[in-house]
Amino acid sequence: MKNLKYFFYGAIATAMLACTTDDVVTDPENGDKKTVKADHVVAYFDDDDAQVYIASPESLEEGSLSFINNGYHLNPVRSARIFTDNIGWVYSFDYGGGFLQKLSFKDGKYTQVRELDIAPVMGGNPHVRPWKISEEKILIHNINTVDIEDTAGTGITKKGTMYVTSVKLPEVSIADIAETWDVPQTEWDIAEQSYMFRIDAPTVMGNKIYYGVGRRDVVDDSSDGLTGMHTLVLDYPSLENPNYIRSEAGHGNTNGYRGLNMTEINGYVYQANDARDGNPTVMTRLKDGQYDNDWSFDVTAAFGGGEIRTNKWYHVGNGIIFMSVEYTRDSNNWGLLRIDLNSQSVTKVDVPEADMFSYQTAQTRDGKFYMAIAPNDTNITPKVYIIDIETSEVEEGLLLDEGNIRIEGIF
Amino acid sequence: MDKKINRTFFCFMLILLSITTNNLLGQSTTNISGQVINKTTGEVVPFALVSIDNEGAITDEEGKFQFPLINFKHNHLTINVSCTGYKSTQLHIDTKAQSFYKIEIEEDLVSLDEVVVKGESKSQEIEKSGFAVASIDMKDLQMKSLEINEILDQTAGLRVRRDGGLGSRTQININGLSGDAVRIFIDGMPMESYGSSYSINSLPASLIERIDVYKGVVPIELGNDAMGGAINIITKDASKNEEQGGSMNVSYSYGSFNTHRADINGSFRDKSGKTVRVSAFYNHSDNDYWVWSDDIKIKDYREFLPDGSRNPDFLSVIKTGEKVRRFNDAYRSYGAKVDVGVTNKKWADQLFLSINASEDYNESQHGARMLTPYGERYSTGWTIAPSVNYQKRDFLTKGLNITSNVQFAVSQRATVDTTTNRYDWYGNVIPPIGNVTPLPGEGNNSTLNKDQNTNIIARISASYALAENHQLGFNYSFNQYNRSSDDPMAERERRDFNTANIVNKQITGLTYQNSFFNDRLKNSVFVKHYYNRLEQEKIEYLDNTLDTTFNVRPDANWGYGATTSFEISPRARISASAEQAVRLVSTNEVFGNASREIYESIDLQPEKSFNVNLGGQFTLIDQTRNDLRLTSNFFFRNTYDRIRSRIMEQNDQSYTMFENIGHVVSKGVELQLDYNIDNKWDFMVQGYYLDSRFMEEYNSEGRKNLHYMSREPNMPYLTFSASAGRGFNSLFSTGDRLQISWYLNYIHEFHFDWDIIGNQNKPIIPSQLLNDINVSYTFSNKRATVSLDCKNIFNQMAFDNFGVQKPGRSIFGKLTYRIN
Repeated sequence: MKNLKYFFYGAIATAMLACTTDDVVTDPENGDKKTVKADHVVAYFDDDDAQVYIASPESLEEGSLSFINNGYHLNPVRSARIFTDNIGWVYSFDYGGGFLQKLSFKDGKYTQVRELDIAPVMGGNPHVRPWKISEEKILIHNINTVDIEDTAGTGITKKGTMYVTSVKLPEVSIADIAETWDVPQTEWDIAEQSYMFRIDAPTVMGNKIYYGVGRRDVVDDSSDGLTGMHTLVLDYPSLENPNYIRSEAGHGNTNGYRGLNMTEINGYVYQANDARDGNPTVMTRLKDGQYDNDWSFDVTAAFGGGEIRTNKWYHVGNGIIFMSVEYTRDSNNWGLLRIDLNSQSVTKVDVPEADMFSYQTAQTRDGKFYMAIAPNDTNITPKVYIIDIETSEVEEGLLLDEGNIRIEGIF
Repeated sequence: MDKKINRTFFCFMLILLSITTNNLLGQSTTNISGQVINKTTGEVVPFALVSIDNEGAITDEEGKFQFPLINFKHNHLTINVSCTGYKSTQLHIDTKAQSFYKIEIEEDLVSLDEVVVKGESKSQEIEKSGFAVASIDMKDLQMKSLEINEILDQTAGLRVRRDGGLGSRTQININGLSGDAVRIFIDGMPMESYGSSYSINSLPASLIERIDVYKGVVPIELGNDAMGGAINIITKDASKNEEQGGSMNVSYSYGSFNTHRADINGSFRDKSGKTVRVSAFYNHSDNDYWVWSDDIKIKDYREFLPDGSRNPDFLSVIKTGEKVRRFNDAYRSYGAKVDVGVTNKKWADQLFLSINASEDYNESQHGARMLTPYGERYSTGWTIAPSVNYQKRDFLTKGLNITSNVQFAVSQRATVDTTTNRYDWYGNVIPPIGNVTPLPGEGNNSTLNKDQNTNIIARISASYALAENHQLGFNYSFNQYNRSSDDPMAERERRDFNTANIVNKQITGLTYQNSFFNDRLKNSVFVKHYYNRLEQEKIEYLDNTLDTTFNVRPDANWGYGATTSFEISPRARISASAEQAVRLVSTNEVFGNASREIYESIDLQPEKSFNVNLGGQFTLIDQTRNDLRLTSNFFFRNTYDRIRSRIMEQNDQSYTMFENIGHVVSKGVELQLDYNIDNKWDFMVQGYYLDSRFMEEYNSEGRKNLHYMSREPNMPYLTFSASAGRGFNSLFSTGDRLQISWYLNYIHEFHFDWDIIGNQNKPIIPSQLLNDINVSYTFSNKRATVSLDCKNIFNQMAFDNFGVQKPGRSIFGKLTYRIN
């Protein structure tokens, strides 16, 4: 009987020991998680957009992060568009391959856990654009164009068709395929012999979604000399009733490039143009599916003139935005402006000039704006610049590789 | 199914053979022939070297040899016979008196260690020239069911990288250089002039005498900008070893993936030297081999589940690495070449008019990787190329030898890709998804592009003997290439581009050669001038009006080099060569090509390289019954302005653009050991190591290159191969031969990108160990050979390029038959 008791105690002890051993193995915070929320820096090398790597630094404020023998090769056909969610998943769209991939991140390791082929529902086109519109959804959209012989005999025109597909997050499964829509020939496109070649930077406000629009000349396929700012508005989430609208407040494309160029601020969707031909950089706003023609803001004038152009900006709260601007088109000398929409004031942020053309995203945290910059001045080490949102004061944070890296963003 | 066909086919062939092998070798008075016999034993002596004047031959298994009488100008000749272990013997003959000679030779135990190689083969002679060259004698190889590419792939320092089966894109890499840096020639004419429908594999093996592979330094006779090396395929000489009358070679091979390869070539010559040669080939393969790499992604195409709800896995990848069969990869090519001419005339040793015509059809299974299968895309091409070839020794004056070729080639390549169908990896059309009709074209854009090319090549080579052992050589080649492209499917603005692309390339070379100490020391120095004029006409928008712009870029460059070869002893020879070489730029690289999305790069510089090769050939063991030979080659290459393509973004559009990436230093070594026992066993082991590093510390913007000192990407750098063979003579009947060979090839893994950046999910071409087996049987009359080749016997995943799997286990049978 006694023996049995000892045996019993022994069994319990063993069981307890077994449990504690389990606990030791498991990271108490992240152990049962499939992925862990972290900061990620994405960069490409050797001026080759397809050599894109992602790696996670311990801190954005200090230390250094090198891609030498470190980092996950995203391995896209042409380039990679990255999004993260609050759970810790990393989503990478292989632009050119047409695959949306889902990666987990844990213990410094990235693992692909799901892959979705988007091209078949986008007219077979793998060169389409993704945007994470919410924690639950990534939208994939594109305008596919074909040449058509004009029946009036005036030559060839373009017919554009809009494709939009919603992908559910974090599952990464197709939730909805919008009916395709043929872009109508508007009077302004007929007048300028132009066509809508791209839509991007979508923003949802209320029951509408607003897409920035890029236009080109049918004849020489350039955006030079085209007038107006344009938006495509649809019902949301049904993606029905498309409406192609125009504003005369400024001139230039509004689709941005790989980053945010439209966002909701205090009940309006704000939008900037990609100015060319000496036109000013202008911000406009929309509401209820229409341009607010009573409001516009000439950023160039407020900056004090010049030929600045932008293709993306970041709203950091309370009507304060940081805007990437190229001081002269095609100079590759980009910098950062702090814009206060409330007071319509513009100040230059003291960060070194860099090529920010294809930069994707930055982070806003505790009153500070974090942006990774690889300066054009080769004497300055690429690093994370931490900008105080209130004072514009710049601090230097995490150091990155010195050399031929181009940063895609902090995710 | 395949197996059954194979069996039936072989039964049929065996019956055919038993009928035809009864023919006997006809004796003819137009030959000097004979048999070498051991004086003491009375046995026949195979593999003895027999030479008359400058002609050499090796006795066959029955000790027999044969020379065409036409090769000799005199009736009184001396036959020299030498063989390891025998005393050299001479016999003076009168060809008018007799045509068949029995030559008895005495054993010589003393001379066992000394080999007097007199009648060395042309291949051996080439290898003595001082160039780093491997000369492949095709005699034994033409029986095997191997493609030329596969034969080349078994050469040390050379890799043939293929995208798949028969007809797939191939790239030849010599000691780490490839693409336009390596040029292929057929009898000195650049391969590319024959058009894309005529590939290196279209040449019947039986037409080829030998293949010379120059690694690095290239002689001036090959007048092209072959910086990394050159491959010269030498076809059989019409004026030699051919008797009056006719002869014909037929071969046919059949095997896996419904692959048929047939070729026929015949020649006929009358008394006056008039000669007609005809050759034709036909290749077909379904190339429907199995692939199962991770690039094969199986997706769920069910949009809705049976209950009507949306399928959450719709279009997601549900399986990777599924074993599937390729279905749109068939290849077919056929062509013929006719040569008509005269030989051995006072005014011409050879004058031939030739016409070469070929056509091909090539389906395309996928793009650069196996990510998405194509079900309908294909291309077709044809070429017609007439040419004139002239050769004369002692032209105008004694000692001046002239060779000249002129060729005019017209070719076309058309690509067809217009379908709106999309296919899955099982070969099924993916059902239309929702209301979404896919855009036409399975590649990036739909296309009906047609390239129309004309190419004129004129070449003249002259050599003049200044004195005994001093020779001057001259070579000039003129090459004019015009291409115009049109694609009715392209966007209008693209269609207007590129009305013409013209390249005019003129290469002039001068060389001086000498030899001392009875040819033991051979030297040469040479200088080359490269002239390259690129022209392009484009229609462009200038100030919003259409205008034709005419771009011209002339380039002139000099190259020079030297070679030396020294025979330390009959068993050891060392050679060295060095060259300052140039790889010229092409029109597409410089002016761009809108229909191919290539952006212009006006300042692109030719690639320049300083190459040094040091080699040695050593006979380590040389006894009657076995010999062991070591061949080694060290090379060093200092390359500036290395050209590569990259994808760049400009104004929201992406293009390919060529650029000079700068300085690359390559060092490498290759070693080969050949061991032969008793002429029955042969063994070979070879190894190759390349250390090619990117040595540009800063890029053009002054930024430090993160990949400085990184290994050059996408370049195999460590390979081993080995082979073992066993031959059985007179197995079933006297004079027959059965040969069994095994070939092993190891390629160490290599990175597709710069290796030192990143450490996860790196694209790597994995290490591979591949085994092939060949069995061939030559019937006793030496007319017919049957062979069986089994490739990749363990059915390994094989890759040459990232993500593109090559065929697994496959088997081919081949029958070769010769009629005199």
